[in-house]
Amino acid sequence: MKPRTKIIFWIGILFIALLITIFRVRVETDIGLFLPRSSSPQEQFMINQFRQGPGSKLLVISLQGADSKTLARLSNSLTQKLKNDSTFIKFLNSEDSITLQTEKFIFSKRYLLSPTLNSERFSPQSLHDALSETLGRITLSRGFLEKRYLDRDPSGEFMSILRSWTETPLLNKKHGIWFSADGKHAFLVAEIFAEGFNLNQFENAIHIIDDSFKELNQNNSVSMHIVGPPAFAVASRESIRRDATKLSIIATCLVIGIIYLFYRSITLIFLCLIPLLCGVLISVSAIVLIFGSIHGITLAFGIVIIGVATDYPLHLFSHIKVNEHPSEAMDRVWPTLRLGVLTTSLGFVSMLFSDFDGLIQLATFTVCGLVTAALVTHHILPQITGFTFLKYLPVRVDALPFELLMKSKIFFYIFMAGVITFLGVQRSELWENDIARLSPIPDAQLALDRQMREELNLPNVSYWVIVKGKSEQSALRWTESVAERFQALKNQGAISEFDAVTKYLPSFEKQAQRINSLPSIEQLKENLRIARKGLPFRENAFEGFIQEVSSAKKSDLLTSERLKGTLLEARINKLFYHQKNLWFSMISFKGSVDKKLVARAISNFPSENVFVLEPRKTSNILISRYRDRALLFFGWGCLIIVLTLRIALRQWVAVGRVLIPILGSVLTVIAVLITAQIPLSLFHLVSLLLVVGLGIDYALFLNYKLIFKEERSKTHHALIVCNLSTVTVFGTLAFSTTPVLRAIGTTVAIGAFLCLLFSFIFASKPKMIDNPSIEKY
Amino acid sequence: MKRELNPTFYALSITLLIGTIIIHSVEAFDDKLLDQSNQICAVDLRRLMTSLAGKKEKSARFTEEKFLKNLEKPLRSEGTLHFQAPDYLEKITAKPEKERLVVKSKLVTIFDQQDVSQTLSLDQYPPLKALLNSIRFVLSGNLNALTKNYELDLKGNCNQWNLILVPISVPALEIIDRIVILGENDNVAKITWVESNGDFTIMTIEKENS
Repeated sequence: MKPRTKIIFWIGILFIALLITIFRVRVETDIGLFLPRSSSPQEQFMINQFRQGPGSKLLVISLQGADSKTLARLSNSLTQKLKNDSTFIKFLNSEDSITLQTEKFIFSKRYLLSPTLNSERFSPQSLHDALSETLGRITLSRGFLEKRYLDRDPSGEFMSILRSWTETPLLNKKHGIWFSADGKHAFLVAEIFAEGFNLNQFENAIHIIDDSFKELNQNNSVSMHIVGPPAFAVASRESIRRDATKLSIIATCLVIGIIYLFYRSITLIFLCLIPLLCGVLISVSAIVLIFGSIHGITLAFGIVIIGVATDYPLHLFSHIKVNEHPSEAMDRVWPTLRLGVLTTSLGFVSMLFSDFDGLIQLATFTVCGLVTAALVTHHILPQITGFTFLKYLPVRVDALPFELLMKSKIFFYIFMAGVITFLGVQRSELWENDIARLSPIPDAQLALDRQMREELNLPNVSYWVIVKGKSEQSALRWTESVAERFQALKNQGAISEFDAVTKYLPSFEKQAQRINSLPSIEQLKENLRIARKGLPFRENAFEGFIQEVSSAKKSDLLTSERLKGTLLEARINKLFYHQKNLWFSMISFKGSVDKKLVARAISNFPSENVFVLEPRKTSNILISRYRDRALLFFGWGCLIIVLTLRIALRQWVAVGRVLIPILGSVLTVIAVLITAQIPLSLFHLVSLLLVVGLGIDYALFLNYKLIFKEERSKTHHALIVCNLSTVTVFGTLAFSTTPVLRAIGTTVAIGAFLCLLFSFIFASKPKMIDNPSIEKY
Repeated sequence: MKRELNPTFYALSITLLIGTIIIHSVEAFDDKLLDQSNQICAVDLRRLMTSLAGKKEKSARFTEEKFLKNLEKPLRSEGTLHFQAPDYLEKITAKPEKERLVVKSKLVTIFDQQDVSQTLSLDQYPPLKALLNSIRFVLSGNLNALTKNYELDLKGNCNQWNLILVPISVPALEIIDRIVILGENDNVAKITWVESNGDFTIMTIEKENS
């Protein structure tokens, strides 16, 4: 193929990739896609709960900075403005009262739902008591709701349902709306309407609140804080984005400076970026084609890992000689570069067999990216670089003591012995198991969130009891018997409050039991006749009631299917999930919970059907599993790398020269992190993958093919530019305030530097005989 | 051609004639009477409201009787009412049981004997809103709010007037049929509300003690 055809071919491919990227790309932010496919029902449920559970989409808003009247007014107008906005499932500044519409529905189903309905309820004595109590309330103002139902529901079943559903009112209220105990903060609660844990939708919702608030708070007297999982997720993304932008501008300037210093050419700086950009483009479009969308995490981690591709053009540029076309230099560099790319890519191939979609995507991204970057460097870069750009000879680095380094293997061994001993005696936890600690959210915000949740008496999002059943009815039956135990605990004071789906959707058995407890019509008439004595009711006062009871006896039992579209659906959906062939009911808690007593109460049930769920713990377990999986595949990858190198280099000694520096630097980085008391996380692991990739290239360039003295000084030059720019970029990231960026930055900067240093130590001696085909300059 | 007149026809036409004269004369008499009283003391919504608005604070004892169609006798209660312009209304029941109801802007709070309270937003209970607002608007003389939310019908004279309010809000109408406020001069003497199921409540207010 002619060079020109090659370029056109490549431009065509890149153009298609660009089109795919522009028109098809969808960056997924739903964390659920990044979790394992083959997980247990509990874990899947947890993921679902994490993605769709009510707690994960709840925002708590606090207004402060003005007198309580102003705050109340603003809180009311904000609620007025946003409560009907479709962005939110609910937007409240006081309890969600049951409206007239809901009332009618619940009223018609009262004999299926009433918790106080039993066979004693309609006995003459109990009817008499209920009637006289109701009359007493109706005489006063507070009976205004009941009055209407007197003739149809004289025993007050409807009211007893409402009472059992009304959540314990918040202790702190002022002007009828939620306020903190000290009266300085007005509180509002918003639940975002979103499918899954969708950061974009969250961001949009927060913007809407922000804008409305600004509009209403014209004179800026009030300040607003928004906390809650969606706000934190958006804020951390925002802070990472801001940090990354700022730092990458600094890093870019520094790298441009370095490249200019070494090559005295501005154009080269842009040429350097071409392979990496092409790699990203092809990877993104490949993943979009294969998976339909790319996950944000894949994109971020992937770009970090294929960052090694910025080195490829530098190797080329450093090896160009005076008056030589870059393609000739490419021919010399290519075998080494090719082996480096091949080794690193093969290292990632093992991940393709993982059962984590996230890992498969990551491996695909890396392999595609690296191969593309290498091919672009090989085929296109020499052509577009041409003769013109290299007007000056590269700065020489011969003054550095490479020879001395090669003789200091003994110090390396002593040093490594120290590092290994240090790691060997380490007893502290190597891994960070609580991913929440990597969050860039300031502790003050988290504390405010906790305080607001407590004051607002919101359901505890970190502790649930889950009931699992093979059918809707079995799940409901289990839930009812668990709820009975919890009711006993509540009466003892061990639980402040709990909520279970069976309040709104009792099992068939319970419903049938209630219906069966209704007396026969004759019996009821007789009972009413006796109950009426001494009360001012007319003889025919209860005809409506008698009619309702007789029709209730024939009514259909409630199922979740039949409640669809009614106002009970929302309440049920929060506490009841259906997944494949399993039904899960969640029991939520408010206020204080004695976890020991709860555990004891549920110990009588099979642990498979009734279990405690602590999302934070479970999600940490999931992340650890992801990490362990990644490590396992990393291990397999290492084995493949060793074998590839053995085949290519033919000698174990040569393999050792390549791998010992990398191993040494990885171990040293871990030791450094431990000394600095930074536990390792997934992000460190990903960074180490980049370090390995860089190290392979460094070591290969010093040990494979390009081993003549003349070439060696050019290799030194290339490696020093590569390393300097890598260390600069990642060193800048190390100064980030975001823990994730800091982790990546420190790991790569230290690791890359050590890799090069150790590779110099283990470099094979250059052959003194000059390659006759290479002219001296 | 001679035509004989039917005696029945005669009798009928005479009766009709006399009847018409009597009815008209009574009407004329009535109109005259009304005209006369109007000249003395006409009742006009605007003027009534202005005179009601003159009193910023009112307190009075009340007795309330709820007449329910299923009960043989009414449910009685009594206590005191307090009003402070523009929108603060307090109803303290002393018998048969202590209770305090406070209406302030859009919220109602009910305190029971143990002082345990329950707060409701009026917006969520349209019938209650229609009832409580009608009392507050009349006591504060807020003509604007009244005409916006009710169909009004004023009868009587300035000594004894009768204002009928029918809520415009449809959800309110489902429960509240009409509210009738009976007054003497610038005092509200009796508030009656009739519910759509036929039940009604009469609240009699004693002359102001302050």
